[in-house]
Amino acid sequence: MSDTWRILFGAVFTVLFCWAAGRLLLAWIYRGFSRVEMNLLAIPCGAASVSLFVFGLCAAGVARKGVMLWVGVATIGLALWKTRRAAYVRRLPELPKLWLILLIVVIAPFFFVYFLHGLAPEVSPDGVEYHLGNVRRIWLERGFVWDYHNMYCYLSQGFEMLFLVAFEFGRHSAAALVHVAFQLILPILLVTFGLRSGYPRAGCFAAVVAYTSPVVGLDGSIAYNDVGLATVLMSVLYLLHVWSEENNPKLLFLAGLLCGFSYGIKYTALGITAVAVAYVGFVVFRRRGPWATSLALVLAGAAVTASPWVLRNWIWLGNPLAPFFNAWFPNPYYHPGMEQIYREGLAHYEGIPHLWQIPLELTVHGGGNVGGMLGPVFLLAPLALLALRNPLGRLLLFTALVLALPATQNTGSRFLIPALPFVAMAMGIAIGNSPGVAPALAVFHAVLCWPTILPLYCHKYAWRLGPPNLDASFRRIPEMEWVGRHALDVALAPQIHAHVRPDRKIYSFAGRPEAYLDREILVSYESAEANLLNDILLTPLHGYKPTAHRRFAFPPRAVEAVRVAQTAASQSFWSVAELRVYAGGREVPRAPSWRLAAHPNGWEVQLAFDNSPVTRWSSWEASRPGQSMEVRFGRSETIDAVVVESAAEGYSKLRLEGRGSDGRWVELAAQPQTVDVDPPRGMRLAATREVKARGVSHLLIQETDFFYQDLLHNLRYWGLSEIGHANGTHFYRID
Amino acid sequence: VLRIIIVTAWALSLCACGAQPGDFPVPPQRPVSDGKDPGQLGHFLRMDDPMANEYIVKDITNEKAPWRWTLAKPELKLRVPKTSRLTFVMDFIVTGVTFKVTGPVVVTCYLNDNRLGSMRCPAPGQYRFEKPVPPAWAAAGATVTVRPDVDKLWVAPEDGAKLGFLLGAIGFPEEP
Repeated sequence: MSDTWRILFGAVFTVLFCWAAGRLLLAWIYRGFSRVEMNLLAIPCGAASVSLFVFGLCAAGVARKGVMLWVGVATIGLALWKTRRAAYVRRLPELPKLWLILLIVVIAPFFFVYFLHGLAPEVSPDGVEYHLGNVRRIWLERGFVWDYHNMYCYLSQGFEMLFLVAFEFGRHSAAALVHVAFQLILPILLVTFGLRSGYPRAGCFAAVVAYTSPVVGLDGSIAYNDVGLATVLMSVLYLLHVWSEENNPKLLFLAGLLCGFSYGIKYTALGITAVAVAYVGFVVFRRRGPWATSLALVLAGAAVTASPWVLRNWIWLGNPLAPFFNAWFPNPYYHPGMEQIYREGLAHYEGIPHLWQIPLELTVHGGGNVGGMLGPVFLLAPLALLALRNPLGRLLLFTALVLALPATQNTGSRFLIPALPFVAMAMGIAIGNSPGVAPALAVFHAVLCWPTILPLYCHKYAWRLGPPNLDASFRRIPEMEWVGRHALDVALAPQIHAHVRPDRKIYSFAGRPEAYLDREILVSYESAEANLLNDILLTPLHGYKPTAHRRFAFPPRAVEAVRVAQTAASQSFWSVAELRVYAGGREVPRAPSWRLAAHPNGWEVQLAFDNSPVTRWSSWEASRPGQSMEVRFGRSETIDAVVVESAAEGYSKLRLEGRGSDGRWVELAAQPQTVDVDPPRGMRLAATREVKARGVSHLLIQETDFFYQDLLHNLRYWGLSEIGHANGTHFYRID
Repeated sequence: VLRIIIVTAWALSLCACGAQPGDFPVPPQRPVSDGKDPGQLGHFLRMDDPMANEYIVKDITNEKAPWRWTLAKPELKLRVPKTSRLTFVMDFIVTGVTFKVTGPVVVTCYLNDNRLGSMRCPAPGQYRFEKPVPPAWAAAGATVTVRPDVDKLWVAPEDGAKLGFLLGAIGFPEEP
């Protein structure tokens, strides 16, 4: 089978599998849809089921191609057999002719572009780093890799479960094409929703402007999940609307399933469950219906598809909401402080000097760090407020508002994609009664969003689709050559695979295209382990050098434990490179009977007792009174000094306490004397040796990394040898 | 529903309290780093040290090898360690090729222009020059220059290059 056919098979099989599962589910739950609706809604509904099924396979470690193939074939066969004589009790109204023509003329060429991009080798940044990086790892291991820790693995991966099915057969591009299929379903859903709800023009308008939106075009034709999520969210509202018309409680369970699946795709979609609960509660309350049963049905459905991800993280990591809320659910895998830094990094607009420019960047320019644009017509989004005059408009705008909330925490325009169809539909309702306005705006928008027109007005570095490259799509250019041109680190893949043993790791300050690399890469901000490596490597360069010795001196005293307590509050993290205990001017040797503890981040307390100047325990959260580090000697020790070695942390105020044989803690010294000392010698070599001792044998460093400047001049002091470099990335071996 | 919400909230609050790290034993102790920092000299140099060139002031060949040729006036820098008994040591080889021409040679070592001592090499082979250093000549932590001179140089017939002996290691070793 040629590459193209293999890719197409993977994608088509996955979508058919979803459709079949959905048809069986709908046949069981609700048969009141028209033929188009039944076949259309079957795909997102089935996707929830298939995703859940694949999750089960991954959890059990049996995510094998054969299992997916035969279960998929059986499901498709059963669905075809069951639906061969299906009767449809409902017919949707006819679509206005003008709109039908307009839809075909606009959607078809855009679909063609999106399809060709999806078919081309996958090179999107997040796609090759973690969306498919995770899929590839699961594919290699036939299930979730429980001993691999990376914040992106902790995210729910409902859509990646579908990618995995496609990946088994057609690899990376097949996964992207599954997203292209969901992208195509979105405008058709909007059109049918418009027909069913009595706003056909609004539905058609929304279909065109949402589908042709540049960020929807790009995101939906790569292995991301935002557009797939938008399709599922639209399906939720569709089902809720049908329920409000027909009052069939089974639809609430189905809507709940999709609410949970939305969370399973992306945490940011949690709001749709709130919307569903609020809407159902509101409608039932007005009808004086059984609100408790109705809400329970929604929540039960949501629990079925969302709880696997929650439970997985709870059992695996001790944090059901990982990689977020680590302060609520402390765990050794991701630091609360790193989470805070990560979130703050995403939430700030950079390169946009004035707030009023944000809407312009989000819709037209796509510059700064908004990462692409929604399309110029969305500058008119405030018009959607006119839709508040009717109930559907209010529901659409309420949904859009809730789903847009996460965009306040992430500046990327793609975080507005989930809200986009609802805003578009509300705009359609607002302008639907003005003759000719909606089609004119839709055509105007589509023309402006055509890939060759975009460069005429958008930012030169805006994230957007260019014209497709047929040679890449149909593999006339070898796949890895194309990937190497775009995911630049892939050029180092042969050297990485040749030099790094499979049981060794690579450290990198920045993310790498893991979907094409078979070695474990620890990225500085993606796990607690990588945070530590980051600290170790930067200690010889940054202000982390342990040059401040805080000495607590006191009259000799017999104690069974000592505790250094933080008494100051600061946004900075408190850290301790080494904590040493003295008696008569000599260090008390650390004994096997000692027990060490710290609060918070007790998991890393040993870093302050390993005699290494390059490792340090850190609170990894803001310093505050009550934080402490404790040594229990296991016997009574007579001591007269404790020294805390750390960087010059002026914000830290420490107190020393001791526990005698009576079990009571008493203050040994209220404050230390600080002595500044020279940094230990040879920290660079100590750092790389420490990193190597932790299973990392190689480094991938970019020329833009701060660290690289020191390597450039002092490589030999680090004990590193350069193996190769490509496109600004250098590959080093730790000698 | 209220009951479900209460139970769910209770379950969540339980799991929030769940992960406690407990206490840990003392980990394996890391040795003191033998690495060097830029601009920082050691007190003893093996010629295959990747940073050997930083010690060389002049007239020692710069190939990466465990033994390097001294030229006409070799000179190196070293840092004086903190020790109660400072000893200077130099490992070198007088090769058969040069010996055939030069015959027996005398190697003399200078520390900051103070003559530390001489050693006669009557035959080709490997030698160790070892002398205690008077404390007044080298303060702990100071950088000193070392000159290992040879009285007769071998001159290459092809290009006139002057070679002394093969230097393997030089400096102030740690006390045993």
